[in-house]
Amino acid sequence: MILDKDSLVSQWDVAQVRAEFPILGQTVNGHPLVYLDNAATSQKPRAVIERLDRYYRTENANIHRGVHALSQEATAAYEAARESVARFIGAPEARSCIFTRNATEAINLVAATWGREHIGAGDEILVSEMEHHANIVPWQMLAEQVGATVTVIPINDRGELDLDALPALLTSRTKLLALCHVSNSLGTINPVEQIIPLAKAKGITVLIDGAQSTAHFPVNVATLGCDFFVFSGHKVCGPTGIGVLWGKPDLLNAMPPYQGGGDMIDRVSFAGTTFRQIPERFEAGTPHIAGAIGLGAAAEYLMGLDQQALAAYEHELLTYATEQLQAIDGLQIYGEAAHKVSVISFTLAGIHPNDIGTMLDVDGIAIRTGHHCTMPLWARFGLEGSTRASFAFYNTLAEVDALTASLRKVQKLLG
Amino acid sequence: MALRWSARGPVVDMAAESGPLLGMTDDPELYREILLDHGQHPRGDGLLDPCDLATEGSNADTGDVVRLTVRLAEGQIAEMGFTAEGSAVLRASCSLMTEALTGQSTVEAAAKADQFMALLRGESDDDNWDGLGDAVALRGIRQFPARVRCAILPWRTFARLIAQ
Ligand SMILES: Cc1ncc(COP(=O)(O)O)c(C=O)c1O
Repeated sequence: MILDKDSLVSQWDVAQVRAEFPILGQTVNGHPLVYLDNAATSQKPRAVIERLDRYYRTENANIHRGVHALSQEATAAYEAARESVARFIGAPEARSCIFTRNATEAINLVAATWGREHIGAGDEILVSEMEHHANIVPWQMLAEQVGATVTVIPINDRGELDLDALPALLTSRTKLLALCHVSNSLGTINPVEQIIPLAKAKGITVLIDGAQSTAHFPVNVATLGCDFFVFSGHKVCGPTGIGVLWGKPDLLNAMPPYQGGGDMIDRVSFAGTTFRQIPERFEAGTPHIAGAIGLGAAAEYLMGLDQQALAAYEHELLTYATEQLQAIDGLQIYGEAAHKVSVISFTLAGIHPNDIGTMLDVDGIAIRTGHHCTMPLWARFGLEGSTRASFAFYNTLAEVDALTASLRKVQKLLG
Repeated sequence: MALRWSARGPVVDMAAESGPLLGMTDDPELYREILLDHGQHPRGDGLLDPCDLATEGSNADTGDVVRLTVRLAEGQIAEMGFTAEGSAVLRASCSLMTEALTGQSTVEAAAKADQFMALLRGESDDDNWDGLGDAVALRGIRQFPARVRCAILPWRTFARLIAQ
């Protein structure tokens, strides 16, 4: 059966979905919480909260170390979470999914290990103008250390990558392309399926920052053809403090370790130490066991949702919110890519984002203001930052109305 | 509710009973008055040239930037001028500070800046706003921890300037 868009949207039972997220029932400042800061972090479903609770109540032990029953159980749960995460991003092998603290640490890991070995004086690291600081600063630090340079793919006024400029930027000196799958500030979905082969054809290693894409649609690292893929658990309904670095297994195993310590070693002696293979190679010390297990539960929860209906519903939210916001005088949306997720950045003439944010908070509406960790992007638009509303599959059209009503109020008061 | 800006007593009462931002978000009239008054027509707007003291302060996380200039006469602050890149809260705070500190000795002014910062940070036991004039209108900001830094920035910048 082929479903049209409207019937797909109608298949999404948002009330039922919301019931899975206990926090959404709260009031804030005397108003029902309207949580529109999902690009910063997502809320957590019961499945994740209860999984964490169960772990601490009945399974807590250190992993990979004990012979006792609890340790076995915790180890099994931790490794099962790795399997869930692998399926979540289409990784053929679970061992190639390294648990990190977050996307930021995953990028830093690659910079400090693979980067230190493969990038040298005169080499180029190509990023885009819309990157999060997490995908700029580690490369700048590396470039500084080894004498490389960071080059930049420009974007157009709609907030899309300038693909015409790309071929000339993929030079013989380019060693790495580090690119976001989806922009956290603009919502732009980058055509990575198209870009990755161009880079690979020139022998360039590709890292995709999936911190935002994983929250909105299924990804498959195998078909993408990238070398590294990173994301954060907390943006995909999982706990904070846990993230993932996926890499091609051979690439990962050939990289020097990141941190040294327990669990990552094969044998230690004062004469010399040998290191384990992945994933332990990059998981020194006791990891965030509960976090990983919680992330596994989050991945299972998301994979259990009707992806088509979810995508249609989020698109409906985006379309409706865009229309409603555009109808406000003096409101300017930044990020009008043909392909974008349900993230809307905007400015309101004459009113500072921080004043908007505070006044919306008084109405129980949580949005983000400022540069959203993409200062170069805003400089491109001649701005310091924006106000950003980012929608998840549990938001409603009524919440869009609450947002626009509150914005009109702010405008009346301060405009 | 009538707003009387210059009368210190009534302002204190209203700020205490009314809504949060700048002492009042749920009281649109009051909010409007204060923001229009100080946020949109700030006292001391623009840098003084020539001046005796000049400095700059910023908050990396809010993106706020303040530039301050001061003219001295016989150990007193004869005039203050500023530019503010940031929110209405920041502009209003700059303006209210200019009003509160002009005519004071630098020592008194620095003490007032410390008093204001302690009040906003919730470090003051007696909630004493005496001597700060209309800046008491900013007491409501304390309900917005994320905004306290905006409101404090001009005062912090001034205090650092005097300490140098
Ligand atoms: C596109 C993008 N990359 C990287 C990050 C960094 O994520 P984290 O702070 O969880 O490490 C974020 C989070 O804001 C992001 O949106």
